[in-house]
Amino acid sequence: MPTILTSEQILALAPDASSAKDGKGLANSRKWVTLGHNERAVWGECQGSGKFPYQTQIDLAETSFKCSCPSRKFPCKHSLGLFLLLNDQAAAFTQTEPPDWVKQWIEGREKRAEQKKVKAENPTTVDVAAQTKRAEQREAKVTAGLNELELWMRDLVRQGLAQAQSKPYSFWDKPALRLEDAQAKGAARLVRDLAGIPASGDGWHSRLLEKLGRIYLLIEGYKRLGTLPVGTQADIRTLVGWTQNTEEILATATPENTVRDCWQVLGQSLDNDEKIKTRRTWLWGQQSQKLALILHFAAPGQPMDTSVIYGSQFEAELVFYPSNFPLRALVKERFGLVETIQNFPGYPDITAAYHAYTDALVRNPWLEEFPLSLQNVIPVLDKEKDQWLICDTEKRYLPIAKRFSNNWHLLALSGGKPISIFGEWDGYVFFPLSVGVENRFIAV
Amino acid sequence: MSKTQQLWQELTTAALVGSERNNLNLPLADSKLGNVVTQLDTNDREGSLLSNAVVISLYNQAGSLPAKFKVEELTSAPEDEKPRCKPQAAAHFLTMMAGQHREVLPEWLRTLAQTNQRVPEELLPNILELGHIHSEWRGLILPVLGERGHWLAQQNQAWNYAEPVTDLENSWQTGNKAVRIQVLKQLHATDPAKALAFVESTWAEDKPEDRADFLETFAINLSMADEPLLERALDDKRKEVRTTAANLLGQLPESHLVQRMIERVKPLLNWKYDPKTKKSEIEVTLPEKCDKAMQRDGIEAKPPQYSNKGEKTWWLEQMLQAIPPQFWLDYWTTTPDNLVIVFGMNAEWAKILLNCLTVASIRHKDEVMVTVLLKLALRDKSQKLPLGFGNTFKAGVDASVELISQLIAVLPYDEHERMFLDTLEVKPDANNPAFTTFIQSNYTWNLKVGRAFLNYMRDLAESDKGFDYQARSLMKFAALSMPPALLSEAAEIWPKDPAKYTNWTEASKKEFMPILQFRADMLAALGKE
Repeated sequence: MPTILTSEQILALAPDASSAKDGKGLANSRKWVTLGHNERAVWGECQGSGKFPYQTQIDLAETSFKCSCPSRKFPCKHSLGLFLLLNDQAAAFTQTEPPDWVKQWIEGREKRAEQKKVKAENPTTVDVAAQTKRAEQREAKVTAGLNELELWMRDLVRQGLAQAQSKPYSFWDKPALRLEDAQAKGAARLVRDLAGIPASGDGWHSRLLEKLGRIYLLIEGYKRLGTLPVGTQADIRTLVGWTQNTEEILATATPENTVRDCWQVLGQSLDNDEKIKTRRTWLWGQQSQKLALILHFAAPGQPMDTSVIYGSQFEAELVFYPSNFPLRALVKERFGLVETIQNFPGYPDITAAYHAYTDALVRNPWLEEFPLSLQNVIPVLDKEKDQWLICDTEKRYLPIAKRFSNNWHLLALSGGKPISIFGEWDGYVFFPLSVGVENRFIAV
Repeated sequence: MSKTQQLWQELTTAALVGSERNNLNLPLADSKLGNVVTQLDTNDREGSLLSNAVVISLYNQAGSLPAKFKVEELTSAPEDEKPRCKPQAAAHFLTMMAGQHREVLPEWLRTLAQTNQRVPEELLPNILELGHIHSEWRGLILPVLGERGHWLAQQNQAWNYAEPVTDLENSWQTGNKAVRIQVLKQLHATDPAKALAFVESTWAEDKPEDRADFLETFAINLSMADEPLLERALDDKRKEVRTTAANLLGQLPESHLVQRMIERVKPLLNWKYDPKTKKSEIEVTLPEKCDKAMQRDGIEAKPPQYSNKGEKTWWLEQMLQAIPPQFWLDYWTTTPDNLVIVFGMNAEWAKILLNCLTVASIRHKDEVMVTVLLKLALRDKSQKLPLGFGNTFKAGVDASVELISQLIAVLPYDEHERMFLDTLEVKPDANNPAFTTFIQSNYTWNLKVGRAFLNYMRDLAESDKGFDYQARSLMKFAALSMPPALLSEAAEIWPKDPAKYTNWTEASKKEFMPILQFRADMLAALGKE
């Protein structure tokens, strides 16, 4: 059996603490009536409180779970327990022909994957006329919405940013709501994000002006959309709020925007909005040295996608979303099984990493989070300013975000010696997500 | 400041004030940036301000590099020789820190130290913080920090209790208080003479609060060699120092303090033999005064508030508690059992005499006397307590439990085990205070005791009475003492017959089995079977 994952990675998939606890309790061969595996999948039957045992199975190629228990939680405690048991006592599983209930599921999955592929290659015909009409209506709404936004911004600038400090939340929220009405959700978010800046301390007016400038660039760019390079057009449309679904992206897959590589999952961060959970997963392609971002969303109470596991690496074809600096991607096809990461890639110093950032920034001036993987850095505390920093061998530093709370863990892992750190850079501060040291790969 | 930084400065100032009041007039350089900026329509004030903003900010950001920092050279941590514990063990630690099975944490820490492993780096902040908040855990935490942990402690003021201690002498002279106390604790255990020398060397200069804390460490391996310092401390200005010194001297039967107490008490107690009844009892005279010498020896003149005690009784009690029981045995040529009986004869004084005898036995670690007293405490319900033990060993009285656990702590493990096994034979009631205290006393039982207790549980479960509230509350402690090797045997003691398996049985099983299972897993992950 191939090396799979660590128990921490498995437990990280649990939807809540009680599932993790129950999962651990079920990671015991005595609780399972049968246990089996083949190259593709792993399965078992667990005696629960019902008459018949629950049938649990895991697709190892895509890390997908299925269980016949009535629990609404996903992955359920049986899935977690089975996975943990596989990790801990692989010998307890006998290699056999899968029973029917496993065969059916796996074959069903393979079939659906095929169908997806076929569908992607042959997109369904739609009512073109209706689609065009809707698109035109939306364009008109957005244009009007952005025009209104421009007037609001000009007002603000005319009267001076100094008064921004005394404005209530509604000052920022109202234009945001109007943009949402105009079907420009992305622009609405940008405006709403301005609300916190006047209260953010030293240098707030500088930051506010920068952000306002970027929004202005967006508005001006939208007015001249057709004259801009295709990638930039895509960036502007995405930022304003146009989305593309998985089928559309897969349908546009070309050799130029599709990359097959061994992708290492270096970091994950979670944004928890009251309305929606967004998970950013950062991948690094071993051969291509390309960076990729996979986004997953979940409504509150709904389970988050578990197919891309932190600290793992897998061979796959990724399709990149259109952009002047392509970063967001999705998985088109996987090959082979998921493994634990073997090494920690990265830039040798901050200068090199920062060049990667500026390369991206000049291509996409609206870039927000950018992944930085640094190989020889030390965490340091500037006691005077009570500010933690990451320093490289050239003594260059990046400030660590104030909202990061595990600085002492970074220092403990470093011991004063250089380590590898991966995290997100937003142009101002660095937010660490993972540490690589002595062949260990640890989330922070 | 660079040119572009200056530009930005002017721009932000203009933006603050507002384009209505201030017309932006940026110095245009003949450069790539200047060329872009020139193209802007200066008549459109807001537009050009915003455009300038985005162009210049992007130019700045894309064209600069993160600044350099004046780093004070950080010494790196020494290499660790001890291995990290396995990830499963680390996971157990996190489970306990999150609040589940927290009572097992001391055992985890102790086992980690015994198996010569250390806490992995990423958990060091958690464990150091634990020791910061709960100083009583420090003794268990320090051995498992590894070099990395001690190095990390040096970087954070809050964790200075864990700073590395290489040179004991140096740490004593220059270390902070927490470190100095650790040095003393370590020395008292291995080289008490050195500990004494260290304390004496800085006694005059040390702060009074510190002196009191240092004296407390003398409880480890206390000996007559410490007497001169302690006598000196009886005259200290600070009350805490005096009290601690008196307490410690009161534990040394050969000390001058104890001799002084004996001389004071000898005339107050008189053994009277009545030839008619053939019984003896003690005649008690109360002390007249509490003079300076007595106070110097630690006798408090004022009784505790709300205790309703008479002053003189209070003085007598304090003095009696300092007398080693062996003295009475020699003075009156009698046996421990007899002493107890005679002390209990006089209805008026029995309570006080016996209580003081118990406290004295604990203070002087008199194993023989303690055994006699414990036997009484563990009596079967059908046997009556000798007169006078009224409140001393009463069920449900907290002071009794405290006293009983102190008695138990005096006994060496073998004695303790023997008594416990004897007790189990007679199937005591679950609310017998001595029985419950035995279970709560946090010893790790060996297989023999473990099996005996499992039998007790099995019999209790099968009996008509079955488990009840009392028995259930014992389960947690039993699970902490039970050897985990008996896990599978423990799984079998629960009755299969549904008629016997009551709600209380279920509740007791739920209290017991998960803890034992967790301990078994936890020890296995640490590599100790």
